[in-house]
Amino acid sequence: MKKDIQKDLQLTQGYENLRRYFVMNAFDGVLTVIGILIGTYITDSINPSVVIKITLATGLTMFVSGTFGTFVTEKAERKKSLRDMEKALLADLQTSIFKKANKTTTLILSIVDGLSSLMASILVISPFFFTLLISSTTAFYISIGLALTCLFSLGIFLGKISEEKIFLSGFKMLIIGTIAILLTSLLGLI
Amino acid sequence: MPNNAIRRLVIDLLKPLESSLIDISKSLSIIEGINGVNLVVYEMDRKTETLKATIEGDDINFEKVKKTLDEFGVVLHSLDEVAAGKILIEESQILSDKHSLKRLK
Repeated sequence: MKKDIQKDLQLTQGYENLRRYFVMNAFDGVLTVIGILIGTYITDSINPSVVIKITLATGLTMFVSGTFGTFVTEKAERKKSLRDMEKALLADLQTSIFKKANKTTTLILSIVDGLSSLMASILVISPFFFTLLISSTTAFYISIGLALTCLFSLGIFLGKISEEKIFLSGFKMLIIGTIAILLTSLLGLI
Repeated sequence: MPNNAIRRLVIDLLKPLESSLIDISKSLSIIEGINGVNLVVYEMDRKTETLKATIEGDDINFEKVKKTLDEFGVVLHSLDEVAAGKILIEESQILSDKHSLKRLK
């Protein structure tokens, strides 16, 4: 089954979209959680239960939005792509491998889109699950550290794909995360 | 092998760019009765490739060949050569035959 899925993704250029959706949505997930964390910090309300519930609620919403949004979009785009192919060949491709490959790719991309933002959010707030062992403030700082590490890793991943300097690419993503932290922290001055 | 077995097919095909030539040839070559497959691309545009397929075997099942090609989204343009029988007969070359003349050149 794994080989079938790989073949289907190769046939529909699905790997390219898979990487794109994974990075974009993991990036969104991490930055959203940075916003939640800084928000709790500047309002002096770093309560583990609150942080976990807000993040999970936001993560689940992003999961639903990402999964179904991508499913509907990809389904429409791939239907059009198949119709264009049928026009070029003057043939019906409804029983061809392309129809099945499109279905598989749409499903995989939808799941990856939804899961990447949810998993990134959960990973970043994971220190808050251990507040019986560490203080909320320590959990906060570790979470921020995890968020920046995730962004750096995503940058390295992008750098590997584009065959550019990977650490520079990671560093660029780190700067974006830092800007997000600084901007949201400015709200604390209001 | 039956007396009326198809031994060789030469087909003009049109395939989408996305279909792999390697996968198509592999899938055709494992069909029972087929000994070998040769696919040559002779034209290409933005979305499609035109190819000539030469298939040889002891008893080629044309319906199975068509079904396999359909799965890959490959369209059969024309059947250019069919050789059937107990032995494989090559096209005879007669000097007066214009088509043969071109070949001889």
